Amino acid sequence: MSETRELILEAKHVTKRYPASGDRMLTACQDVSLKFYKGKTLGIVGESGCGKSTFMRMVVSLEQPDEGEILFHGRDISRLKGRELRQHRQKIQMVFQDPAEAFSPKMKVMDIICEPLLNFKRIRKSEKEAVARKYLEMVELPGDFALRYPHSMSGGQRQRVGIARALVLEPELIVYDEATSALDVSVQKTIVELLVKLQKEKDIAYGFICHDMALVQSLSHQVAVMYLGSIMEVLPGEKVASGCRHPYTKAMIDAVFDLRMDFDKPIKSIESEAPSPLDLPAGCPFQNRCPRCMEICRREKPALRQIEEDHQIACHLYGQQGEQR
Amino acid sequence: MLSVREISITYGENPVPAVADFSLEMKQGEIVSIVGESGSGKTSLVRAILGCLPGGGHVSQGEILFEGRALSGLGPEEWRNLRGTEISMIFQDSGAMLNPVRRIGSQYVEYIRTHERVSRKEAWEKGKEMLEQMRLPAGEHIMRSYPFQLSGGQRQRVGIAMAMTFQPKLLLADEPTSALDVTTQAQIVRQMLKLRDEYHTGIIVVTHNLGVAAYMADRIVVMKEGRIVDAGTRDQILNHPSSHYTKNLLDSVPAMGGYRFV
Repeated sequence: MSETRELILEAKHVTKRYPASGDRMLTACQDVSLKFYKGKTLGIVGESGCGKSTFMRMVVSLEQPDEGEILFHGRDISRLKGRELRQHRQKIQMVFQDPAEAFSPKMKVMDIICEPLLNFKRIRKSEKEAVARKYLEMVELPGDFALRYPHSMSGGQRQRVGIARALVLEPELIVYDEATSALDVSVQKTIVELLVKLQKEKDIAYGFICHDMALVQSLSHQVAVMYLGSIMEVLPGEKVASGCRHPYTKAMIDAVFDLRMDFDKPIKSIESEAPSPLDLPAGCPFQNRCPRCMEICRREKPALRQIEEDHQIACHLYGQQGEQR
Repeated sequence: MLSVREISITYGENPVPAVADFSLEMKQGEIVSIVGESGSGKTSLVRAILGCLPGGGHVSQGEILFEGRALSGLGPEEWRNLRGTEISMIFQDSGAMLNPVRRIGSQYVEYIRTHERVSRKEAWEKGKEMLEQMRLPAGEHIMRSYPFQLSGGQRQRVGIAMAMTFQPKLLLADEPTSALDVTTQAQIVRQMLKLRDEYHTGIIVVTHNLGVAAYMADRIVVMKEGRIVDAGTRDQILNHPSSHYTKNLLDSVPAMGGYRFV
């Protein structure tokens, strides 16, 4: 499988810190390395504050990493500036959680969709409506919506407009930051079906951030699990339910409420809460919540290593070849 | 204990009711989940039970009986005696319910002393004890904290602790876990189930998360556009839903290791 994949973007050892009060530093992302492939979806799951949004903001060049590099077709894009950066932005687009906040309420849908094209002078103003209609139909909305304002649309319809706006520049990578989290489940399902259809047609790479483990594993080719700024495990979507190995991934799956679960069994979940990213513990970030914490976990931070094809894990429980210690 | 009889709720001059012909009978110690998509009227319903519909909203038809007493005719004084002691509520974000510029302790003491004639010291001790029962270690520390110093999960526990102080017969929970992370959500759900076991509290949970609704409930009510489309025991709703809408809703919930889109 790996030989047929085409690498589009690679993040290498990316670290991002923010200054916090009292001369302290908040580490949002620590040594994160991930790859995006053409036509494939990389899902990132994790609890709030784990750094998944910060990472994706660096991928779309909204933030600059403090360390490490982000290679887009082999070229480091994390230090781009000015005109180069502006030209590069066409290649990677983003869809936000709340489309009501992401649009100007005073702009018509066709202006929203075509603004990126006009910015890059790819179309003339007179072509606006026709182009907007084409893209609205692509996201399965009536073409007449081009003349509407965002407030007269439902949340699901607005999110479709957000997707249309991301598509117009024909990017190679689209990042979805909790793009379906504010929607009702039935609407969420139709949006996900649309995303998957568009991906197949256009061969776009997706980055999908979400806190819903069940949803992420159902639409991602690869899933990365993040905790306190570090990658804990990366594995294929279809292996998440039965083949995950990291104690944190397991804990997250145990806490999922599923309609097919055994309702008489008490729900398992780790007690306590994640420590603050302001004072990261030495050693494994998950040590004080881990049911299988060992002595070495308190001293040494486990490195992310390959244990099987497409399966990486950062945990001292597993040896070099993935054998359990 | 609670009997909701064919109520309709309307807002202002709007001729279309937000909730229409809704009925529900509930026994002590029972957990009922109300599920539905946004705009289905589930929040209006629990707010009507507590008599705190937002501006312009009122029960235009039907009646709500709590232990045989009609709630619609209650005066402000009677409501004060009922709310917080007999019926209490947990909101989606308990942080929004708390005053951001006052410490938890001072608000908690005020709340207890509104309902019970006790000294400040006794109220403080009672509050601290409730927080610790809700698995907030170091209750004294929480009492001395401001709401913003706590995490979302901790604030939600404070909300539950306050709601449970007087061991109400009925607890209304409006999206109690929607703002929380999955691991915290599981902790809070477990906590709420314990309330029923320990205090025999009847709970109405309003949520759009069908997994949580199913796990907690004895019975499930499915709402759509202000009306009940399906109601029954958990087994009936999950395994033999009578309406097409419920079936569709259940099918839309992603499952671990279930249907894959790619």
